Amino acid sequence: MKLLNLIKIAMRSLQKNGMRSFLTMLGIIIGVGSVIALVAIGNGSSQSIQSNIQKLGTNMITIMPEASRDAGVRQGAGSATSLTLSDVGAIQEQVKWVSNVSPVASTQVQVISGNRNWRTSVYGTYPEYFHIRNLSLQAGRLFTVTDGQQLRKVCLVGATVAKELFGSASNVVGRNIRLNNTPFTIIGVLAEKGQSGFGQDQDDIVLAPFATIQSRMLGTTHTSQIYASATSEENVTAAVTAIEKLLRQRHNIMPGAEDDFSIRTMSEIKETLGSVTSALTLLLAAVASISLLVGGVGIMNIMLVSVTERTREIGIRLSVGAKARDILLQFLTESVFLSIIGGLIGVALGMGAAVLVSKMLNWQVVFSTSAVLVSFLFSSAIGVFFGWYPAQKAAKMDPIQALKFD
Amino acid sequence: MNKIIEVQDLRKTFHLDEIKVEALKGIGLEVTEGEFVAVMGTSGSGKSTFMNIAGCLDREFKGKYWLDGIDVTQLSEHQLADIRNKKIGFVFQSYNLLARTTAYENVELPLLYGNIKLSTKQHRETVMEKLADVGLADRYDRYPNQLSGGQQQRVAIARALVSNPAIILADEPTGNLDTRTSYEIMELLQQLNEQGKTILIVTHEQDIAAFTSRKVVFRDGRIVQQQRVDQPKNASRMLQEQLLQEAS
Repeated sequence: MKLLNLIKIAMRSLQKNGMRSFLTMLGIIIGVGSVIALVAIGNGSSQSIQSNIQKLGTNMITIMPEASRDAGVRQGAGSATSLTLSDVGAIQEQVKWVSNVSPVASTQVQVISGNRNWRTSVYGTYPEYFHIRNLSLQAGRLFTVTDGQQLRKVCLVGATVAKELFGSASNVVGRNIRLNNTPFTIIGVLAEKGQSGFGQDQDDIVLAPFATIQSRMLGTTHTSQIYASATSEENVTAAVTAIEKLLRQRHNIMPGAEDDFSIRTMSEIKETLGSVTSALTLLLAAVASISLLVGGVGIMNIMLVSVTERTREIGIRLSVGAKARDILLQFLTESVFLSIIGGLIGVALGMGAAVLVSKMLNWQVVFSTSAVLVSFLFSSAIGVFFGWYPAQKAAKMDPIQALKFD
Repeated sequence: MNKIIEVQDLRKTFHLDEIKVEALKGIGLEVTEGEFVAVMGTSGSGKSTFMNIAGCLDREFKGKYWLDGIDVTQLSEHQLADIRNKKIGFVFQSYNLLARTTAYENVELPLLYGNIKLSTKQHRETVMEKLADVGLADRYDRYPNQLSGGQQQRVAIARALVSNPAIILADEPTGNLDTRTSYEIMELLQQLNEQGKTILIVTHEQDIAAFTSRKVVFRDGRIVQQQRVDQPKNASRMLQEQLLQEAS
């Protein structure tokens, strides 16, 4: 039989049972729709996490001192004072995969301007820190090497700090504030970065030259952390290895002994988070696939009922010359049509639902072509798979018995 | 004249659990082109079993059967379906039209299953022509439940005619109809026969058999009587009389 006739026959009988066809499709619609929507939401959240990490700088390397020991009692991570400014210089000079290095001295301070005050973190850094952290200015200028050398009391404030102290982030350059009791002049305002992927307000900071903070605020000589950036994301591993080797040598650590520092990279965090979110997406897809499978069982159920109900029709078709294969193909075409049309509607609804979610909850959604394609193909395959048994049953009917059926 | 149906020593046994029922015990029958034959008999006489075999719906039998010169016993199920499509037109007692399907779509059904190369226009013309032959061209878009019993049977006849078969097999075509409508259907069959169609009908009513040119009587799986009808009754005339009678 011609394919066109087959499609014609199948379409006609689906139309004749419009409501039933729709209800049968509903299972597939919900199945495909939920796969599309959930995968889009999963991919969206994974991508927003990735881009947050990107904002932090994927080639960033953080070096922290290990825990200090006091008579065998170990303190928390970063409590040792083993990292020094000469380590920073050595890394800058000797590790070729590193483009920028900056020591970081940080502390919590109360910033005060007139009758307003705010508790925030102040970071003493080198100017290189801006490049490492991908920071930029909204107004004013950066501090320079000279500012540090002369221990000038200058600082940059984040947008949150500016708003808390002055009500707005504009016209704050040149104003004086106090960090605890030390007066500082604001020379610039950082561009807004918003929340980090970990829920931290990245605008709630004050930056000042490293030497100024170290000598005027902390009174220490070591550095609490070292930030560095690799020349590229690919060179992070090489840079880490080189830094580790260099610092072990400089700190006189014997082979086999533990490091007195630890190195963390953004790509590690990125990979961990990436595997977590992709596992989550997979889980969502699996749950949705089960509903797709249930939809398939629904198709089989309805097709079986339909075959029994239409026994006489099958008898009539056989008597006018339909071959067993024609009957098989007719019922198979019907179930495949149901699942394909259901699949198409499901794709549309799933996308609609995902867009709705992104509008209402302000979540990022990312449509994946492969999810659309796979769930669509899967639903068609379900049509064939679950349609096969009922169709086979129809095709095997004896025309004489079928014609007698009431 | 061509032999349309030729059967020799046709036997059929049903196995119901342990019991064997011999439905046909050696049937021999010939139907030549242009004949109008009535197969008669009480229920259980084997006439329905014979019709199923003649209609190529049942291939589990012993004996010889040629349909329009083709040895049916040698054919596969697939080929039998093709024979049913091209050589046989069925008319049933209960019309057997597809429900919720228009008259036009019912009539075109055999064309959809046959591998006949027809242009869309030829296809449409063929279907409409057959509907016109049975006087229902203006009701092509009606559904079976919008048609009377007689009209439904006409649609079924149009469907039987559409692939221009060698023979029309009608199983009690008037069984569900009142006298007047029965005459109408027989009038139509007589007209088709006059145009050269070979027709075999099953009936247990003598007055219906009287319209045919030959009666074949089945009893207990055997043909017990074959009788040529010398002066077949004219269904048109009977219909007129019936109408006059109803009017008075």
